[in-house]
Amino acid sequence: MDFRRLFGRWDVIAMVLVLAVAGATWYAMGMSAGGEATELRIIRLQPGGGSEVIETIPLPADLEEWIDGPSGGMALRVSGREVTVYHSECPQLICVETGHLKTAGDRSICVPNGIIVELISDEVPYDHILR
Amino acid sequence: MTNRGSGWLRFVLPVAIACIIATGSIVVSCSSPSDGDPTDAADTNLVVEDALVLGTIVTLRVHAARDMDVLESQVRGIIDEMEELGCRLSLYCESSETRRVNQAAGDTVEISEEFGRLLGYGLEVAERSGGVFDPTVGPLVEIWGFYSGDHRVPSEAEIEGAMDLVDWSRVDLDGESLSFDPGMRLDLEALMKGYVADFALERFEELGVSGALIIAGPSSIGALGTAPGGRPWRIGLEHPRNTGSIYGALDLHDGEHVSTSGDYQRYFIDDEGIRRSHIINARTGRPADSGIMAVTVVSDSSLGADGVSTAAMPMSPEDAIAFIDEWGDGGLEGLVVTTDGRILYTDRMRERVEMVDGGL
Repeated sequence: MDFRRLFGRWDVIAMVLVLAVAGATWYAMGMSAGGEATELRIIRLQPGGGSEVIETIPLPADLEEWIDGPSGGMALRVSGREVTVYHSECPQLICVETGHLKTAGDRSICVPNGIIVELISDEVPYDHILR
Repeated sequence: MTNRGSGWLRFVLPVAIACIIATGSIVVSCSSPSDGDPTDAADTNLVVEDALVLGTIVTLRVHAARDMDVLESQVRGIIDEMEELGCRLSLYCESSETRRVNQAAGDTVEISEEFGRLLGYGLEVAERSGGVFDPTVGPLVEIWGFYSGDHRVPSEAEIEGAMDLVDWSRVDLDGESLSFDPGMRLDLEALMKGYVADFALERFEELGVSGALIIAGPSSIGALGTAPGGRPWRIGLEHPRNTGSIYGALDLHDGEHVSTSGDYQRYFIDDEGIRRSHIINARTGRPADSGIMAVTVVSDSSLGADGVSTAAMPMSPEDAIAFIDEWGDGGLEGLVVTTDGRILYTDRMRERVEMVDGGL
């Protein structure tokens, strides 16, 4: 088949435009299906074992929150779909050093306070994110 | 005049072709862990449980065709068993065997079969890594402040003094009998999470669950069976310097384990702005600093993946890949992320990892 006979310049331009729009759509959907968080979940680990979801916050949201814990607690900031633990009273500050949580499945863990801050999505892209 | 078709066909045909290509791409890109055989997924209950074990968070994702209450009870029972096992072995538990043998340094002591197995593996990794990994690294971990959390850069004299007490070849392990020099101190923590994860997976296999994913800390994962829906477990690989940025993904199948060791997991920044990783090169007495940000290894046990990834961290990137590739009979699969942003792979790992959003 001679494609040059079948498609002219404008045909090619039309195909490129459609593919460009599709590409943008794919990127947007990839952000959603591939990790955009829809909910913030705060989990407290029980001293005798097990865990309990103490709060869920639908995303996007804009707020700051203080969570009490046995090592003094921790403070987090929610900006849209991004969550940051920006202060903690625990000694090693691993939860603060985790940085910004942006993708569904991301977690910030404060072991001394027994708190897990976790981003959740309806469409789970991964069973676990390896750090 | 060339006839390229006329009327509606001339416009619709190229658009239709482009739409078919685009739609196909979107459908493929949208397949996710939530897809799979819906019949299988409906037949099993899934329990996701977080727990504190060995001072770290352990997450268990377990599914089975049984009553939810029964499954939850079984999961919690195994968490308790993991805690008991960890406490028997870990330095962080006062009554542990590691503490007991450290207190008896200089004497010959009897040890349990499980402690001997764990230490024996540690000594094997030490030998094969040329001593950069060393289960007697305790004195060095102490002077860098990684036990207490009071991090600091020790003096040269302190490092030299601690190095005199770090030497895996001076550990005499003979079955259930153990001795090493006074002042030396065993530290098997680098292997502990993997050992406990392997134990948990064995227990879940005995219980006949359909699938289990054991995540010990954020960096050590073991897989049993399949994920709900009958698909493989799907693991995202996070950028070592950018939380939330996934650069790659891989599937874990039944009996496969993956572990990442990195300079970003536990570290401190010293007064000169130098990042000091908690992984100590026992040959230099200093934190690993050879141009590697992270090492990821796939193995047939979490213990194996943990040990090899930790031992590879202080090596040069090229030596680390060779070390992983030559481990065991058939070699292991692994990748190394370098501090200058490159990824080096073993051959099989290159085929296994799918890049996400263009990779790093």
